[in-house]
Amino acid sequence: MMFWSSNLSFLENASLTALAIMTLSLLFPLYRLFKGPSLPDRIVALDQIGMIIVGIILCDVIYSRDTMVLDVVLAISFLLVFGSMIIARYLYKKTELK
Amino acid sequence: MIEIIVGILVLLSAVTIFIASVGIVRFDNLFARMHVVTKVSSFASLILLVAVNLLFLDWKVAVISVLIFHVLIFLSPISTHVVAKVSETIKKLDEESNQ
Repeated sequence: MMFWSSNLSFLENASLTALAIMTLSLLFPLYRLFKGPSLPDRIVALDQIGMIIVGIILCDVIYSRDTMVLDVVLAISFLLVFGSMIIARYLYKKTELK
Repeated sequence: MIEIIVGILVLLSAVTIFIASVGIVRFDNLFARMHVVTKVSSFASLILLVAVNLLFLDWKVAVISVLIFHVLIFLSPISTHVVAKVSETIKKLDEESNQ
């Protein structure tokens, strides 16, 4: 609770704390991304990083009360799903050629 | 009153995302990690979308958040399924090439 200041409202304090927790939790998938034993582990870690980015942008929507950023969340979620699918297909083709 | 409920929902989703990220390091199996990414993170973003809708109460926000929710709930398991199938195929091909 070290981020709570008295000249902000409860909602702003809560969304700033949530931003701090989400940014901290970005470290764990990065560890898995660098140290993952196989390539599918790294794809899963990238998926989790994208999910955390979606959460961070939604927290920013609540903090700044700007609803235009929700379109960005929609684009990022589409990119997340089809990106990991395309990487998996590429991996499959690469191992089939071997 | 509504702001306090929204703040509690935001903190809950942040803690849920943190638990999912810890699970990605702590689980030793690929499929356990996939289960963490697909279910727990989708639940956290669902809570956040509910919080956004409670805060704004606008139909444009509701339409966009329903779209985001459907993409995250129905399309994200498909991509995870593709990754699982590819990892099984890679394992099988490696065993065949070793023999």
